[in-house]
Amino acid sequence: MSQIDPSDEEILAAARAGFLDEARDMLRQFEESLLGLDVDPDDQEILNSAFRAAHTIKGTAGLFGCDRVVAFTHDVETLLEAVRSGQYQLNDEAMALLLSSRDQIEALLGDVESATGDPDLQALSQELSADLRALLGGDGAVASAEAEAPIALGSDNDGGLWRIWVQFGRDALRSGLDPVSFLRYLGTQGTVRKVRVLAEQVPDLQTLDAEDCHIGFEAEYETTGDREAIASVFEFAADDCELHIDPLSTAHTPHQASALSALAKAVVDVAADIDDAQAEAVSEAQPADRRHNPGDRRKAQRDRRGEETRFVRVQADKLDRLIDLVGELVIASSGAQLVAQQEGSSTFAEAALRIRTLVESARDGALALRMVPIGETFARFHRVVRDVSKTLGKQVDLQITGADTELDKSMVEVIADPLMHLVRNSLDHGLETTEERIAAGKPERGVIALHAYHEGGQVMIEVTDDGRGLNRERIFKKAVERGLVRADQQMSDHEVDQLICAPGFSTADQVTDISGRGVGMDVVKRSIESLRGQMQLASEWGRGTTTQIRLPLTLAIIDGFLTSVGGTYYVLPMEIVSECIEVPPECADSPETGVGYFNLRGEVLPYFDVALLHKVQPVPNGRRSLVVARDGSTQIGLIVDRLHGEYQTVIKPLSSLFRHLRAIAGSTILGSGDVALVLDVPALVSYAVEATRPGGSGRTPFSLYASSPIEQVQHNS
Amino acid sequence: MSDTTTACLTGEWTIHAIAQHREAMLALVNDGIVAFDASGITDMDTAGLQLLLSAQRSVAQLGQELLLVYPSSAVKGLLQAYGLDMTLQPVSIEEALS
Repeated sequence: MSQIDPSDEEILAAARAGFLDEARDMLRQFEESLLGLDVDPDDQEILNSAFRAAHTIKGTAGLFGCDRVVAFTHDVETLLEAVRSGQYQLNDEAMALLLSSRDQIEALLGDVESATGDPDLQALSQELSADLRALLGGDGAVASAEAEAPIALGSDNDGGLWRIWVQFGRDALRSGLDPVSFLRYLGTQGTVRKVRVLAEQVPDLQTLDAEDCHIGFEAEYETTGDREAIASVFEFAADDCELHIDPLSTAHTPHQASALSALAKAVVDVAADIDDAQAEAVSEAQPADRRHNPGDRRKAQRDRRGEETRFVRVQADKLDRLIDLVGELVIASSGAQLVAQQEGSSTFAEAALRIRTLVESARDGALALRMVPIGETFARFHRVVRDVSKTLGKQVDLQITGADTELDKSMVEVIADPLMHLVRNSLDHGLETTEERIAAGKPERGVIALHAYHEGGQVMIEVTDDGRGLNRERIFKKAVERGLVRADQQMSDHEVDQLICAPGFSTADQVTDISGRGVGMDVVKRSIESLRGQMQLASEWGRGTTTQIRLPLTLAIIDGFLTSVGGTYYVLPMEIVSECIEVPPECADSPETGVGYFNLRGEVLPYFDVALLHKVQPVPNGRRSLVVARDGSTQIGLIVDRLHGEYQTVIKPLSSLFRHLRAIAGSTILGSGDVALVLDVPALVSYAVEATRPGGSGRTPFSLYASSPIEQVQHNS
Repeated sequence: MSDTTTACLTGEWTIHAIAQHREAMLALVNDGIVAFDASGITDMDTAGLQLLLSAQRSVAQLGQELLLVYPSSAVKGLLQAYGLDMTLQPVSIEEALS
């Protein structure tokens, strides 16, 4: 039965990938729990959660033969068990050790993938294991050694006594499995010393579906075989049962009883289903409760399972394909609607409209599949803040709000690194030392806040610290030295703050000079911008700094507002269009430059002629319009020839040839087959603001000009 | 015993026919019958045992005890395999170890 044919190997490989994936989730849970314990060492709930996570990792690692992970995690678990049972009080030393153990488990898991054991890693494992055992003193070491033998080695428990606990799945009987046949088979391979039917879940006659299986059994079993041999009995029922095999010793002295309770945690889950393992971990976590109140426990377990089965794991590329398809559907439905309009057929138009409504819902649904809460990303900063603040000797609290704000999954992945950078910067350079804080009359503990929320169809993420803030004088001086600005240049405070994000402003060795921040802020800014996002800094000297990141909800599809200039179509993201008005007379003042100011109900706003962008000739004698676009708090006017109204837009990224163009975020194909360019409004806004600045006006807006291939594209099309 | 009606259980108590047996048992238990003659059961699997256990639960809800008499060898064999006695209770430890 232990022979593995190629297809089994494939299945195993796939399962192993799933295991590693899940193990990392468990590690995250483990870390969160540890950090929770750091704050409140007496919280049993968190302690249990940490224990469960470690336990699940160990159990499933054993299943996949990752012995190194099992052996090491076991020591971690033993320590946690001692804490749970009150034998050991958590302290800073243990906490530090547990956290490094977490890293070690992660490293070991990484090593599993590479298949060959790294000797350095092994040495570190042993070192940490020894430290973990040393914490528990002699007794702990003994218990650990005893417990380790059957778990890590597993196969030398010859002639041993085992406890088998198995609960069959609902459909076991229907699929032809009979629990009793396993019992009988076990009887042929060894001696079943005791059996107890697990019938607590059997409902009464009224509610019983007689073909469902609610039966399981618990047996004391004597065999010369090892754990694998026992597990192999249940192998072909693996999907239909939940199995625990624990070694039992023959004598039950009180000391061994405690060792036994540690042993009882060794779960091998034949079901190869880590979610099951998770649920089991819950049941294993309360071995005493099981006997006293089995009904409740099972009920809880069932509820938990019900919750878990509501989630389906889907490969990301399948999802991407679906979203791609929906994107094409959006285009096709726009095309159908266009044809309907051209044909002038009202019934066709009605049908097309109906399709469009459905496609829109399908689009929203598909995109929602990709959305994940940002909380997971935020949570990992607890560890960073804790570690870095300990290293720096600062006292820091991390406050997180809006953790359930949802964001496209691909963006969540990309945003993690820049956020990490910002948090580290805040820790390192933003927050003062405790002494400095006291001297400045601030609370001893510094605060770093991560805040996420939705605003105007965008996601806002703010990283705030209450540290010393940016030193504008020094930043300005530095920028002048670096040739980024002229010494006589007039800049607002806000603009000076943004200078630290300029490329080449600062490198690591200058940071300490400035004693501000600036480690690779340009890198951070660039990665944000690669997500069509923006980053802004706001700072108050002595009071702290806020970095605000603004991201689009998704990268793929937007509700667009279609406009055209000459023969070229431009799409503006709908959420930034606040209104459309006739071109005010003052805009006719400077038709050549195409930039200037106009008056919107008493408010003076800069405007920008989109025709200028690619030197397109406006339609002669046409009645042009001005679209008021908003970017955060800034508004500008964009002059276009015609407004075509709302338009669903699937953004296709521009080829790398056009990547450097600042004003174009992408392109899209209209229903008619024409290409429309998606305007990068934030870039246009900052450009318009720049170009119309007093003293700066009249400067050639070279950065947006089409001294690039796009011009040729336009002319050829 | 005069006021106790005993119902005779017959046939194959296996997964294939168990749904019908449940309906019959439900009707019997609802009629207040708690004693069952199991001599007519020709075959029994875990589904059959589960039905008995379920019946026991229903009877217990009525404040009574299920009584199983004259079990056939098929029934006995299954109960034995599961370490249960005629009252569907676990066999006492002494017996199990003997």
